[in-house]
Amino acid sequence: MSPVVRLDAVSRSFRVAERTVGLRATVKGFARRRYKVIDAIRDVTFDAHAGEILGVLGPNGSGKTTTLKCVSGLLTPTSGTVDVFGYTPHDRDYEFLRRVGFIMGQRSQLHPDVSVFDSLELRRVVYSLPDQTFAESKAELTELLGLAEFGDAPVRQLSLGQRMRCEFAAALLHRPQLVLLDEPTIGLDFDAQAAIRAFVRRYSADHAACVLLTSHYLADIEALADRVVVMAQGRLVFQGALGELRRLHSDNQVITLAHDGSLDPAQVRAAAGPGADVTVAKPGEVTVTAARAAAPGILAALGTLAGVTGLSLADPPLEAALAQLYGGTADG
Amino acid sequence: MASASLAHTLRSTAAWLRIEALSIAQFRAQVIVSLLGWVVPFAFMALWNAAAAGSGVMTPGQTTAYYLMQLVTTNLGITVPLIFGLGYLVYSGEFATYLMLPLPSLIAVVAKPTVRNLTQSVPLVVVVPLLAWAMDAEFSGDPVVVLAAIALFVLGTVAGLLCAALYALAVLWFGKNDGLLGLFAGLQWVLAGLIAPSSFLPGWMAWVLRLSPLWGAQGGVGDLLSGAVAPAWYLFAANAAWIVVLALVLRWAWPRALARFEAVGQ
Repeated sequence: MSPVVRLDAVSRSFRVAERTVGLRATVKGFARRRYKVIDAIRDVTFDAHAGEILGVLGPNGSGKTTTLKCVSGLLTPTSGTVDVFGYTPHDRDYEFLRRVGFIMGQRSQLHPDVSVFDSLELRRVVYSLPDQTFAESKAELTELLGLAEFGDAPVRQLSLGQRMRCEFAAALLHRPQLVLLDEPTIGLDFDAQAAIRAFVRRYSADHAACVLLTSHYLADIEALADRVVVMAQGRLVFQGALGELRRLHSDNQVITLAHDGSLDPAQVRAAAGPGADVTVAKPGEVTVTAARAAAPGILAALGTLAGVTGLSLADPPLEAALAQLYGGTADG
Repeated sequence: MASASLAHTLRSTAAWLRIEALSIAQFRAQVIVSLLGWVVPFAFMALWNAAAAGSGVMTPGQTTAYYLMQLVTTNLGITVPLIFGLGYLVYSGEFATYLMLPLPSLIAVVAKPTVRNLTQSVPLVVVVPLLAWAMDAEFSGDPVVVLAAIALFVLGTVAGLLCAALYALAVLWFGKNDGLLGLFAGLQWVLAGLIAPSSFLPGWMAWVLRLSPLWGAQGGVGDLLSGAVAPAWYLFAANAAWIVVLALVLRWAWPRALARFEAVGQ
């Protein structure tokens, strides 16, 4: 199956004026401006397929949003090629635009002074949706996103969570086969995040849509993404499954030991050996961090201790692997 | 510019105008205040009525008619709001959301000022005839002249909008267009004949106005209906030529301007 999205050695640079601080420097800069070129993304190559949810991870300024904007056609790459459904996105062919939905978490596509249902009516015309398709899609989105209770209120009067649900309805009314989600859960409370995640998963499954998702909430990525690409300083530094990411970029594994309260941490240290790091997580629970190669042996040794009621072996949190990938640049 | 069927563009425009009308209707006080409208032409009317007396160029009745038409056409004009609107959208980054829609993005930019101007022009339907009667305005009653004025208004509106759209694209290079907006507004006051009717200007300057793309929709209408300028083929030819040239240049410039769009906000 050919990919929906294909990026080949895509780079995008911005020429920006060097910032000056203070009146004197600003006046000087006005007379003689200096520019610098910032490479937002460099040689980014990946592809994504129908029905796949691809997570795009990276710290602030790593190029995630620039990548999505190149895929959407909002930005023209400085070099390299982007192919989406066989179209060159920045040509902005209307047939291409009809197959794409883009949710920019901090940028609303709804008219603030009218209801979301009125905005949907506008989009029915703009996307040339047949009446039946529109009615079915609107009913589906209203049910899945729970729009009925606030769908006739002006968008500016809605809470952030309600507005974000409306943004999804507006972006997906025309049932796009490619959905670009840039920080779709930013600022939302836990319930709203969970509702959005459930909706995205169901939409992708029901419509075989390809979803590209950036989020600062790793929970979004872990809950949704089949595969991830990781970006750091404008470059793609990893692509593959989340589990693979954990394994490849963490030398350690974590053993969680539960006991009946009779076990002393010193006994655990003795059983685990000198290379392991033992921490009392809470009463009745100890965590042992050990080298990946040694972890199974330590697990077996801990199992022989009296008073042990439970043992589990897991990869460390995703954040640890990502921090290693980001090379200490992570800030968000 | 991406291809679009005319029918789809017209349907989308109507739908967008509907949304903006719904939006404006949310704010009743704003609507009522806006009905007071744009009254600057009255100031120039007073000035030129005085100058016209005994000038032999136009009569005070003709300058009254001329500026009453300026009152109507400037209230309907959306060239400056187009430049301002696109500038704001590009600067704030909101333009990105319009670019994702399969329709000419400028429709979204001009819909709001169009609805606002139509709303605030409603009182003119009553006010202009009343003032014309009370102030002895001299309008041409010749149906040919009236039709010519309507035709020139349509051609001039299209030429002016294309001119403003092309000018507005500069914001994609400059990032912000406050200075550009002021320059355009100033030029428009002169070239559209707001500051002075073309007949009062020195010969070469009158020609500059009458052949400019900004005159037809404003000064041209007033000049024809007041009888100061007779309908002539070159007035229409100039506007038609502007439309062709500006449309071609806009078609060439639009994708190049969009390639400059950085899709970031303030």
